[in-house]
Amino acid sequence: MTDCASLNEFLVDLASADDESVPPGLEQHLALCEACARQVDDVRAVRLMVHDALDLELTEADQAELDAMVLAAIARQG
Amino acid sequence: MDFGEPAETDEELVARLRAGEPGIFPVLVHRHSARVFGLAMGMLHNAQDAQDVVQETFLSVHRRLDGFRGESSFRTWLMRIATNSALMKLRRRRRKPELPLVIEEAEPQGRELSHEAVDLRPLADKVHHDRQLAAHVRAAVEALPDRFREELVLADYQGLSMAEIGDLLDLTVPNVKTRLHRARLAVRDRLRSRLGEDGL
Ligand SMILES: [Zn+2]
Repeated sequence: MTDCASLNEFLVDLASADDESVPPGLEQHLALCEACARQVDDVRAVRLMVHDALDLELTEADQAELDAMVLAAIARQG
Repeated sequence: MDFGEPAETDEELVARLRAGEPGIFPVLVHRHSARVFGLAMGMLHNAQDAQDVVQETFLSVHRRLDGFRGESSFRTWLMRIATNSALMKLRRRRRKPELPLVIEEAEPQGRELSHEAVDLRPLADKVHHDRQLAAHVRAAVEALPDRFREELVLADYQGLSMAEIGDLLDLTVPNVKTRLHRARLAVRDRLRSRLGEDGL
């Protein structure tokens, strides 16, 4: 049996997922239940946004500076 | 700058480096420094500390390269060193006991509705082009307590598996999953609330 109550367990897996596949029973439920579908989509959206937001931390110029600093430190270490 | 054949793998570069070929280490640094920095910023949210982590990581890689046995990919090995370095810094820095993560409860009627109305789905692909949105996302991640933030960064940014995260943080896999889920819901709620205030 699949209903709104079983969504949470799936979301916990999805939030962390190495594997994103939706169990067949739940897939049916998601097709019918907008509230649950939205929750799943939101969790996926947050994952993507967190990744992309952190990926933008460094500009190319900043990175060039950072690389130079690292290489200087390694040269000092010998 | 030309960093050589784009198709060359890290492992091939490491082999050339070990064979004594000059000019290889800078290529490896350039290839990975932004990612190490992003990881450290995500966990420490302090640019100076993040730079320190990048420097410590590559110094350590340089020193320990002979010990790299190729049992994991070079990238996994490097990111593990970076993660440990960031975690050590985070733990040294922790002074006060952490507050438990409180998922924000429903707010007064009306506001709650307007937050719920903020749809995150169409925003998922926009972070790369929208600096303000990216800043909101980072702020929401930064607002998490350390323990939740480090998991989120390790999972979503670094792409570690639940088992790897459990290993690094000394947690069981179900524990990792539960915390990660709570962290993600907290980020979602904070984002909605901030975007709602911005009238987006
Ligand atoms: Zn439902």
